[in-house]
Amino acid sequence: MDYTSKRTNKTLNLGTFIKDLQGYLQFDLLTSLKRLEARKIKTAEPGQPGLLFLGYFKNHQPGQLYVIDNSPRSYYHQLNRELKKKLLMSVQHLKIPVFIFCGKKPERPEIRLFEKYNFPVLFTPISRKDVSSKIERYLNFFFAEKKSVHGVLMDIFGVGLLIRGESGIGKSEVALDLLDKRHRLISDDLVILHKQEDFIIGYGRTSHFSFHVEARGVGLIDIRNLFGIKSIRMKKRVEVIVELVKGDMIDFKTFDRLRLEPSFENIFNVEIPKYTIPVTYSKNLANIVEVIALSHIANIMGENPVATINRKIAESSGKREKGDAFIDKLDFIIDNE
Amino acid sequence: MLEKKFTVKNKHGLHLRPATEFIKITACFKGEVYLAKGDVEVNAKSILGLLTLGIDYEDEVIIRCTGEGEDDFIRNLQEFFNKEE
Repeated sequence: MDYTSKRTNKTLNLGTFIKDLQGYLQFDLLTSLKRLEARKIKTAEPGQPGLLFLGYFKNHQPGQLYVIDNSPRSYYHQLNRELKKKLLMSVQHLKIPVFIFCGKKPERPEIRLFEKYNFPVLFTPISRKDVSSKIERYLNFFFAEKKSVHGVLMDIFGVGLLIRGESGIGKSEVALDLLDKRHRLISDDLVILHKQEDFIIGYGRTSHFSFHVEARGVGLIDIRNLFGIKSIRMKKRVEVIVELVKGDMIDFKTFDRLRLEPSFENIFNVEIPKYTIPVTYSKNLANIVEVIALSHIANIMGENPVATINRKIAESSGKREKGDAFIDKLDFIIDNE
Repeated sequence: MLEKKFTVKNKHGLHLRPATEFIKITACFKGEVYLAKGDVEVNAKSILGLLTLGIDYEDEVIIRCTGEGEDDFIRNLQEFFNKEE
């Protein structure tokens, strides 16, 4: 599968940005937003206001916003009017989407020049640390790499497990079995994967069909209604991928039965353990999937059966002579009985 | 891989009944088919995926397919999307 998503050339309207974050950051609009609501934020990384105020904006990225706390602000404040004017004039062409002041609320005259040169200015009473982390999280989510895949995402013993396979192979049926075993469904059929720092988050699309499963012969099943609220979950980190493959499609000559070399799937440069399960009629897939989740947990806790057995073999090989002597003795006893 | 853009002529969009009809066409196709609306792409053989896209009247969708008999398949789809009811 191809996970090289189109690198997001997305842009975020200032109006939407304000509306989405208003609840937490309690923005106070200090300049008129007339015609400026359509200003675009184009990058998730806030700029450094200190350097900008010093007149160094070589590293400014288009559509970068600025969060201004006390120190760059007091620097700007002590400049004389002429310098301030010169400074703002020189950065006017950058079309900075917004300046966000935090800490002490700026007085009206302080930001008059910002208004004059068409810079939207917001104020938030929240501390710089919280503002930055909130804005960064919001923007990172908005600009994250995303991709939708075909599969079922479930939470099994707390492990986010993505079940994939061609249509009609029985993904939804496995999901129903797992729901019956009190595991939780995140999404059936359409799973949106999105990169957050160094892990992958999966969730479904919110619509009338969230938390529905389609099973051949049964039709649409409303999981939330039938199994209750405990059986659903909004989003989950994807930790394991289970690929269901028709039994006759697998070449058992090359199939790694003992999983001596674990395989991984690379999604947005994150390696996720992948298990390929041949599907035959006699198999109870739900049980197998449960066991995969459990062994993944065991792996995380440092248990690895292959490594353990290898170690035991290595340890015992040192005592080989002793063992051989014992076996000889055993033969002797048996022969004499 | 064949790629083609369609406009939905059905006045009610792809609601449940046309959606099942659509799936019948795609399920018969031996190969991979994807359906995209906006920046979301789904497997066109999955009815839930199709329904979550919420395809409406005059929406533009893109079909990407690869497999045997692509041309016939696209023709069938064209017929399907041209239906007004």
